[in-house]
Amino acid sequence: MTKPGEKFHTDITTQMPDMGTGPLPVEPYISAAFFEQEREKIFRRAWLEVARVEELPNPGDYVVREIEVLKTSVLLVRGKDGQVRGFHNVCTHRGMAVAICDKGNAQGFICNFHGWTFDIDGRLKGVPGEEYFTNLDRADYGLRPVATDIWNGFIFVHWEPQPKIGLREFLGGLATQLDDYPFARFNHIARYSARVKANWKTFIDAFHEAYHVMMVHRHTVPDACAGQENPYGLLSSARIYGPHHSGSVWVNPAHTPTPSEMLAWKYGMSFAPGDMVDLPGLNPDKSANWWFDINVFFPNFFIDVGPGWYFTYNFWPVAVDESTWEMNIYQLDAESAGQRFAQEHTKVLLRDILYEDLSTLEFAQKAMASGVLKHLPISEMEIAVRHQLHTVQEWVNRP
Amino acid sequence: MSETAFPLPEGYEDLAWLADWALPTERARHSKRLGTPLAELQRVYDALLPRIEPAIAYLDQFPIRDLPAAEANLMLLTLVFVEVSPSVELLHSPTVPDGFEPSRFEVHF
Repeated sequence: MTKPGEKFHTDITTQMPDMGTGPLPVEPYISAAFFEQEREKIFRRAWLEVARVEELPNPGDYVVREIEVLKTSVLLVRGKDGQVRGFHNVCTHRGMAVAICDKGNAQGFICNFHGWTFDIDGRLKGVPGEEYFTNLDRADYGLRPVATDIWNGFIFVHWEPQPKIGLREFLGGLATQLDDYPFARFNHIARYSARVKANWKTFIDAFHEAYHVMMVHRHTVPDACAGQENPYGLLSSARIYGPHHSGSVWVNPAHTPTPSEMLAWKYGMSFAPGDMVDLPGLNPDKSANWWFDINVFFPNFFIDVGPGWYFTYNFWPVAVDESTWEMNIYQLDAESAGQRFAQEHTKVLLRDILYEDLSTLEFAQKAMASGVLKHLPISEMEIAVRHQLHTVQEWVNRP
Repeated sequence: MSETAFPLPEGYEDLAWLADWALPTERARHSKRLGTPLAELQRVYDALLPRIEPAIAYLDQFPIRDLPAAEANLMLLTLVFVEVSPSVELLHSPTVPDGFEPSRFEVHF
């Protein structure tokens, strides 16, 4: 507890890399050359989250993900053996997509160009007019695999056919923190997305500090995570795990609930601050006045976990000044009308909050690109912003 | 239960004027909210607020995954209350003031 007159600080409970305290350069947010380096040295070298296993419950179920930064389309499909496999969604004949819909169930895939057919495990099954090809060995022309692995129901892919580091090792301490959170017990209750003219880091940086809450969220939750003891919304605690980080958001005990919030908490859980529901993996440092944890998996995936709900963000670079964003919200399975009502409250409140979060990005990106600003002063309140750029620079500077 | 296209359980028939709001997805309910003046949202909110607790107590007698038609409609009206509540309680507007452009924000389902 902070004593009167004492400054509130974020309790950092892991080893901190030396990241300095100076302003951050604007160049990495606006340079097309830097963006190309990020594509090669970050996005082609990191495990990237693309789906959850519940999207592919049965053999033959598939989803397609366009990954613009990798200039590819990835096809994830559950095989007859139950295993989820990833392939480039590209016919090995002349490059047309083999899956046209973004999801479905298939016995196999047929290319709409010349009718080559592939099994759901990627094997080339049929070639119309095969006798007209010279020395065509079908075994050489299966779908091109994409390295795919799963942690806790989250499906990740890697650009390199043989990644040097396995998924679990890459996720490190942040995965350990969340290993026991019961992700499988949740209902998928919402998906939102947008395409925004902002660099992917400009975008991400709006989501892993709480300093912005009292201004950006002035219409929705201005008093939720800032208050008398912590007037500027510092995180209560933060953890750095190699390239990843995790922060616990302080909650204002004097927050005034609305009538709909009170109803939601009467029956279930809401994103609006309320009671603690004890689930493993939450509030790892047992911070007082805890709201939720922001868990950031480098380079572009968030799992924010709360008492009975969690939500994810995927931020995908398109160009130096353009990104796409997708949010998925999950809440503990609703077993009653009241719990269904509470699920609705979580997503509707979050959705309206997100309209606010997305409102600053394009102006800030344009301003940075104009050259007016050369650097950005970053405070202790925005430690995750500093760590994100520190890690980006470290990866880009690798051979 | 009345013989209408929008059946509601006994004691809730007076909410039948909200039939146009009882849309099956958040996407549809949200779209309707964005196109409705605040005064009307307030009227919807005021009509539903005192009914939520009794409605949920009533609905909890039924299995949530298999609600009969009238009960399913009442359930949808509780979700309509949630949809309009930020506009009335927080935003004082159908849209989020100073927020991202709604036509560029996709609500998938």
